[in-house]
Amino acid sequence: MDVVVLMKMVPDAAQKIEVDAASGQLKASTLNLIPFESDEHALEEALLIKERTGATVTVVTTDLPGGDVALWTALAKGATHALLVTRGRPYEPRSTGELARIYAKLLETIPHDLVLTGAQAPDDVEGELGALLAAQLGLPYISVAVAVRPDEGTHSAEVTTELGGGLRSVYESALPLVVGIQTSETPPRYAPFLQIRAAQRSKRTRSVAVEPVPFDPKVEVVALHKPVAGKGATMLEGSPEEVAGRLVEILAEKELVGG
Amino acid sequence: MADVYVLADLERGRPTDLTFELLTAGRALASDLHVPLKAVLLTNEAGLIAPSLGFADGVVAMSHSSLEHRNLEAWSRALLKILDEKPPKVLLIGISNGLLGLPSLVAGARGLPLISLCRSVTAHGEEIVGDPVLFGGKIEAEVHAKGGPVVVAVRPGSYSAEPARVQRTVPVENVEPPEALETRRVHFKRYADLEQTDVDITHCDVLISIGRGIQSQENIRIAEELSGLFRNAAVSSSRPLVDQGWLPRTRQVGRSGMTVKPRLYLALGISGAPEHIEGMKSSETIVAVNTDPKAPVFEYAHYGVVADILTFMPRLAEQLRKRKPVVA
Ligand SMILES: Cc1cc2nc3c(=O)[nH]c(=O)nc-3n(C[C@H](O)[C@H](O)[C@H](O)COP(=O)(O)OP(=O)(O)OC[C@H]3O[C@@H](n4cnc5c(N)ncnc54)[C@H](O)[C@@H]3O)c2cc1C
Repeated sequence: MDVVVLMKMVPDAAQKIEVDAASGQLKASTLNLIPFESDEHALEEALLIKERTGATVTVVTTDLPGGDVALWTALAKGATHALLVTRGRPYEPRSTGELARIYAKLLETIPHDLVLTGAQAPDDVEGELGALLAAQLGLPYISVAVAVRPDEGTHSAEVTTELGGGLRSVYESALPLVVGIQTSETPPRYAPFLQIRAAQRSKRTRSVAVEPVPFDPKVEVVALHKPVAGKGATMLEGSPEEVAGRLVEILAEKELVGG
Repeated sequence: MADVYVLADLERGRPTDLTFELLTAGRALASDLHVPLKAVLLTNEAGLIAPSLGFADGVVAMSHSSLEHRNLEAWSRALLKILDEKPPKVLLIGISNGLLGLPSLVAGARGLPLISLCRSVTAHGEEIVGDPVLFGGKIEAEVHAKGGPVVVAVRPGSYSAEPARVQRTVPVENVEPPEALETRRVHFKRYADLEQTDVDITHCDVLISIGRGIQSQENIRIAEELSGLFRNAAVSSSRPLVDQGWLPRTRQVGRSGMTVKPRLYLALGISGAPEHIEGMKSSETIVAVNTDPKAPVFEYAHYGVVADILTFMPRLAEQLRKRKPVVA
């Protein structure tokens, strides 16, 4: 069983994301790129499958800043192979369509029964990587997965998805299959720093150049901007004690606490 | 004349709120473009559901057993046949968890323009413009589509569902299911309900809701203490805490979790990403506490406090202890 995990680097939304007013694009210099959170869950799900079935896990990302560290970390956690796709281009918040084409081309050369990637990244202006890739490859796609259970004998997988409101649905699919992971069955494991360093020194990360894929974007991102402030909240100001006191008065007026 | 299509989102055979929200969006778009609005209905037995989509001018329907539940492979094959036979100007698909990925599958297969994560969609003359919300609500974009049919994926909660809840007999155009449905590789097996062995947060009057700002599992205790000072209250949370295994999945608020409407929703260290807001925006009173004065959650809160929750929670507890609890 061969499992491929596609990871992508996205700006860390916990930090400031600034827009250059003149160009209407993100200020590249202020961006701190991190692996998309659900991609980390996709990796964890792949590692769980490896532990259960002895599958190989190949992790792929592109050469954006931090991509190499993401691969060393994946190796330290137990991935079998790590591939860094070289593009030599800076981050753009709209490249999912192109990325899907690059990965589709790459997958022609690597065995894959299951392709796992995070569902709905925060920059998916042009759609989801997993679904766009599945469309390119003519493979089935299942999204918002919270468990993937492949069966080598029947060459199929059972996939549980999270619909919300406490409802899940379970599908069965023939392999190969592309899955958009929302959350892994158990929280992503931790990779000790020393093992990440060891993975870095082991030179197990392979760089691959994928020929530029002709891509004709069908949409144009005219401008990015900060959300326009609406009415917003009534802000309570003062020391924490004063604010807490004022808030409790408001709650008392609404009869949420006693007098 | 090309129509505006809205794909009906169905859960257990019934149109979801999102379906009606999108019909409202579709109506405005259709009048700007001077074209009819049609609902696209994929299910096992379209005749039963069509009248509930009476806000549309007509229904384009396909019935097949594989379409009964949202099966992305079956639904995308069905939609592609409809798009090939009766191409619209625009196709709106709501981003529910059940439909996530469908817009990309359809647009990807035919090389159609797709604008995803949209809060709104408008026509500038003949051009379709979408306004995606990105990076957890921190950035918005304006995206123009070239050519068509244009696929637009719209976020839940972006439009009001109420105007579109119209029950009437509508003209139904039936499209024959494609052969490809018989050779599908994905099969729906069953629904599975999350076991409810814990408190049911949908029935609480007060939710002390914590996000990544709580920083460590040990700090959850402080929120529990706060919750103990209210009647019929519980601790709920955003997704990352549940994904970390810090709280059970039954406590998660948002698109993949529970939709709650308590009398008081206290959002502590929650940024206010659209997927979280979807699950709590109808709460009676929302109070947000966050160190970042620009956190998107303040846009949805009634009251806001810029503070470190680890300092603020004990202060709030102190003030609450001076009061008698309200008898429910
Ligand atoms: C398909 C899909 C479904 C999803 N479903 C859900 C869902 O059901 N529920 C859900 O919640 N999310 C859901 N998400 C995830 C969602 O997009 C966000 O990633 C998530 O809501 C962020 O959680 P958060 O606000 O706790 O974390 P963050 O976005 O990291 O925000 C943490 C906040 O805490 C503040 N903070 C930090 N330290 C402190 C402090 N000491 N005091 C005060 N404030 C502090 C920060 O300023 C920040 O605003 C879903 C995403 C997808 C793609």
